[in-house]
Amino acid sequence: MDNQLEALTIIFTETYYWITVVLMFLIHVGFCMYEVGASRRKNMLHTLMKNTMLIPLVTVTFYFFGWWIYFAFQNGPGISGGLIEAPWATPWSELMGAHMGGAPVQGGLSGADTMAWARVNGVFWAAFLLFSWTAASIVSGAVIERIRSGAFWILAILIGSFCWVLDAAWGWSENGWMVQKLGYHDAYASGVIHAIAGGFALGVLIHLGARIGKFAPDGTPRDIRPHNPWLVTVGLFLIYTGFWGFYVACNIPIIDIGPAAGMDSSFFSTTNIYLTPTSTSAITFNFLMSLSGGLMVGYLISKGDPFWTYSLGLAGVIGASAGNDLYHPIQAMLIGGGAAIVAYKMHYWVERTWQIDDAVGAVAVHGYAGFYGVVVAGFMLWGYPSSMHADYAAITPWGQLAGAVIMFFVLGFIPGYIAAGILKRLGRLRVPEHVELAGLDFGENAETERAAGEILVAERRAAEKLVGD
Amino acid sequence: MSTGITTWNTNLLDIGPLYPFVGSEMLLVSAAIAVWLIWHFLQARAEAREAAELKPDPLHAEEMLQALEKENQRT
Repeated sequence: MDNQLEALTIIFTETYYWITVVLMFLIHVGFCMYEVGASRRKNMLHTLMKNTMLIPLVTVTFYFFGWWIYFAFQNGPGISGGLIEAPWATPWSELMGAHMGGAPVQGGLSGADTMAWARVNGVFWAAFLLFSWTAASIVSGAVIERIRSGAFWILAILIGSFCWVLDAAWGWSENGWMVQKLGYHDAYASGVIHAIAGGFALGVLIHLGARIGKFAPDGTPRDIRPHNPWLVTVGLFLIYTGFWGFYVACNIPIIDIGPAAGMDSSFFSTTNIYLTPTSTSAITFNFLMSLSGGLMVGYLISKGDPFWTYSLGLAGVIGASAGNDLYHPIQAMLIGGGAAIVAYKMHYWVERTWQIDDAVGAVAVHGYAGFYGVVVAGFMLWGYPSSMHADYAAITPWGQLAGAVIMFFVLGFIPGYIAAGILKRLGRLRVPEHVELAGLDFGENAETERAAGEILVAERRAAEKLVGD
Repeated sequence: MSTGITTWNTNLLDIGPLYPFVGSEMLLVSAAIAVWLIWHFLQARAEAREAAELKPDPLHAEEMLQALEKENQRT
């Protein structure tokens, strides 16, 4: 870099994404706190480790193949073109390590590739990776207290390093086939993260089954309360905090879109992932207003239940996210409020109707609210261009509905259902019943229980002695 | 001998990869994939063994009886 303005732009972009990654790390901290708080004492450590260990497993697999899939599969392949060359994203690429941007050593790379990717590849990769963790973590909450860790980690890799990355290639990239053909628009990932993860979780839950005692013999659901509601709510607060990082990570902070718009001059702007204009200011308005809409409706509809009020605040943001680059703040608030109603009502309807035990309401808050958000954007942004390319389809309700179905069912529910079915058939999906009864922390619990038994007996003897004296 | 960069007193625009042992990338990726797969195998084996070792005695009745017996011997 021998030009100061170019250097400032590149290093600002590099630093910008780095900060988003740090902020998004809080989403995972929040998910861990939330899940541990929602589980019963006998399952706390298993719940914690199940979610923690998805970090390294999704990270290494996203390094091995996830990042390459994002670039290579944007045409399907086979829908709008073939497999795309992405030599900067293969795990053996010299650009997948520290690089100064000079001439490439490896064949297949050009000088333009090294100039473009040397300083931003790692931070882009990490920003996408943190989305991968989030997708897997959403599934993690739904399945607590009875899934085998080994099974969950295989499912986490499937959703985190493959399914969501494929949907991002298709519908969350400048030239994805869904953008080209359907005019799909999902700026802050209502569908590409939330609907897909919710759908995937639902597919897994059908095979996994409910926790022992969750449903009465007549199918009536019983409430299994969080062992620590305070931890649950602080966890959700942290997810809100990390969500700021998620939102800004969905943007390109500074890019010249003048030429793409047909202008003779430069026009520097922040854009969304489709390289169409928005601003950080606009999404700040809309994030807070949609959160507020979700919280206000959530409080009323759940009669002030803290767990649901917090969760439905999140549903509010998720429901407005598809179009939060363009909505008016009051539109975002109203759409967020609608998402809270959809998530809450759908959760209990599905639970009662099919005895689906979604321990933290993840399918509702992410899946149903995300699906709703994608569809609503089709009506609200009807006729808007989906891209700077004039020949790509415009945003329509039917394009968004098709997109929501692809996200929730095709890339979420079906892979989750099939993978969980295979694990179930192999006897690897759910812990044995006696382990579930003893608690998934049975290794640690056994010592505690043994000591507790001895203490109880000792206390009884001491009490008998006192009475005898 | 050098594993990579030998000097910073050069035209910095010419420098590409900074990491040592450039050219070993494919070997590194193969080793890392092997580590990843072996990890899953070891974890699955350990998980199955632990579950099998736990007796189906969720109420720990046997441990309570043993504790009672121990306490009786002491008194």
